[in-house]
Amino acid sequence: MTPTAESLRRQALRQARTRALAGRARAATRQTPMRPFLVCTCGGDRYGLPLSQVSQVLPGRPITAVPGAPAAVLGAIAVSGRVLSVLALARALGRSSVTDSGAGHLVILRGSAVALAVDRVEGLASVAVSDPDRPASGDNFLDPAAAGLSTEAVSGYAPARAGAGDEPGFVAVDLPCLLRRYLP
Amino acid sequence: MSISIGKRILLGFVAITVVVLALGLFALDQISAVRENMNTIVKRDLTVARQLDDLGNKARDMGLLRRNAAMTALMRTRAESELSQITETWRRVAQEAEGLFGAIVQTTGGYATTAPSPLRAAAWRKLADTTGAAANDFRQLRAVSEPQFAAIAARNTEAIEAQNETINRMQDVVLADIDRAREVLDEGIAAGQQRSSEIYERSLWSVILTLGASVLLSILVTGLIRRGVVKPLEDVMAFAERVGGGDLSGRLEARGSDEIARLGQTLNGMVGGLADLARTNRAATADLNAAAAEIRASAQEQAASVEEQFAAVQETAATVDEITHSGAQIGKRAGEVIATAQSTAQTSRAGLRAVADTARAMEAIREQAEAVAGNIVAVSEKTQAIGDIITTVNDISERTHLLALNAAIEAAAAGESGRSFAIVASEMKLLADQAKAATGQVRTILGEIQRGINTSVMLTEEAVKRAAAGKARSDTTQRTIEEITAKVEESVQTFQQIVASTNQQQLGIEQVMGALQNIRQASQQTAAGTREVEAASANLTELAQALMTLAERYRH
Repeated sequence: MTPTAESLRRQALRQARTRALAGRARAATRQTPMRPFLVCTCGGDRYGLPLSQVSQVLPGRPITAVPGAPAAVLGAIAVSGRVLSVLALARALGRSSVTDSGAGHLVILRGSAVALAVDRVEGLASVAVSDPDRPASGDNFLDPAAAGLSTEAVSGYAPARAGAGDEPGFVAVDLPCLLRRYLP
Repeated sequence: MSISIGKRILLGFVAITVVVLALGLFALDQISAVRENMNTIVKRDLTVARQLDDLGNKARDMGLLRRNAAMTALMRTRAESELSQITETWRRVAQEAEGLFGAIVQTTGGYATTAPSPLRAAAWRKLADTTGAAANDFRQLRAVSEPQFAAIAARNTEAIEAQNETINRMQDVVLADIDRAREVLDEGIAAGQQRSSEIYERSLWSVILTLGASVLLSILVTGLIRRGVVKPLEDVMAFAERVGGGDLSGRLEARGSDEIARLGQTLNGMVGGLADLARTNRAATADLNAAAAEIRASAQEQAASVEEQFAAVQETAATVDEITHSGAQIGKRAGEVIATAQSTAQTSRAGLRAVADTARAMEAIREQAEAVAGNIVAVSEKTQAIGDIITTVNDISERTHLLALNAAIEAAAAGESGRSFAIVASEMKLLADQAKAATGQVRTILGEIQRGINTSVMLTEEAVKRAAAGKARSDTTQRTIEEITAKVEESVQTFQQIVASTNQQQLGIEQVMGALQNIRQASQQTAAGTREVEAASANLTELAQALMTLAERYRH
């Protein structure tokens, strides 16, 4: 690698960081309530989990299989003395064609003994909402029916924001609705 | 009619023989009849004539005896015994004459009944009447004579004289009767002669008629034989003439099983064979004609080729002359080539030394390339270690990523109090992501380096191989130049041999010139012979055409 290319790369990194810091200052000034989402990828799909319902993110580990379980339930793991059921997020959402890669991340949910198996946890994303009680409402979400998506266990679709970086949009998952089918 | 010709001819001959035999037998029969008739007539006539002669003699004897007795009695000198003896004799003769008359009458009466012709029978009957009349006269004579003899015995001269006249007259009558009987007999003989001539004429006519009949029969038999034998033979001859004239298409009609039919069958077979022969002959003659024409054409072609050969021999002689000149030039050029080849051999030895130097340089190149390859392998091992380090850094960045996420989760759970912590967590996550991106770039660059190393290793190995190949080629070149040198030296020897061979070749070419002269003479002789062959084949063609004309005579 030539020194000129190295200097260019570093310059690009610095500029990106400067833009991020500038964006943070703008976000802080906005008074609209923001809801943070944990963005995960399963195959080619991106899903957003409400951050308030997430307890912990773990690297992938071996999963003990449970006989007689539904197809979406991969098995059980033990975390900090608790036994958690592992649910494949893509299968639970009906995307059974998506293959689960073995090395992935586990997202432990808050308030229930369930861990969601995803390919990778990308990061956080905050979306402005109009009604704090409903997870996905407001101008930044598209109605699932209008976007051609299934309404079951999906609260909305957040399209890519034009200003906040070049990240693509994600599907906001309605976790209680999703878990209702797998928990008593 | 299926009687064979032999039997026909035999039958004709038998018929003619039978006719001739019958004719001969008939003629013999006629001759025997004539002879028998003549015998009968002659025997009867002679018998009667002899009896009449005896009768005449006895009558004269009686007269003489009577006269002797009378004279004896008159003479009176004679003894009585003599007289009585004469008387006795007269009586015996008279008795015999009486018997003769009876015999003649009886004989002629018998002949009259058995006479073959009425004329003769009439003659015999007339003779019997005449003899009967004469016998009566004789008996009167005897009766008249008896008294005279009594007078003679009594020697009464007067009585004797008295009766003498009467007795003489009577005796004359008897003699006349006998003469008349002879005349009658002569008439009978004449009738017999006439009868004989009649029988002869009849036999003549019957024989002539039979002869005519047999001639007619013979003509008939000849005609039949002609119709049965000669006619078919003429047909066969006509057929044979047609065959002789060349018409082999006809067939003889052969019916039956006689010789002609068999001859016809044999002739048909012969004509069939002749037709086959003529056909074969014609085909063979046509073949002969074609063959003669081919021979003639071949002879002409041969004549042409002989002329070409002659021309070729001339050209060859010219060419051989040129070869002689070029052989001399070859010798000269070969000497020049020998000098050139010797200088080439010196040059190739110098080249050999240069090639050996090249091989050594190639070997040095190969060793250096191998050293470069070893260094590159060591560098590659180092890059492997760098890859391990990158993996470690990546793992650290991943853990940092999760740690930052958990920290963000915790900060969110802490609510408003965790907001600054959330910012720190966000920064951590950003750093972790940048570190991950940097490791990704480093891994990419390292992959390029490893690919470059691999390429360098392969290029170095290729360089080593090419250096080895160059060495091998230099060795090959060295061997090749050595071989070239050896071959150039061989070439020098070969050219020397060529010079020697060229000299020998000059001698051989002179011999070839002599042989060409001989060939030229032989070609001229061959040309003459070919002309003779052509003339002979022309004659042969004419002969074949004459044969064709001959064969055309036979139609089949």
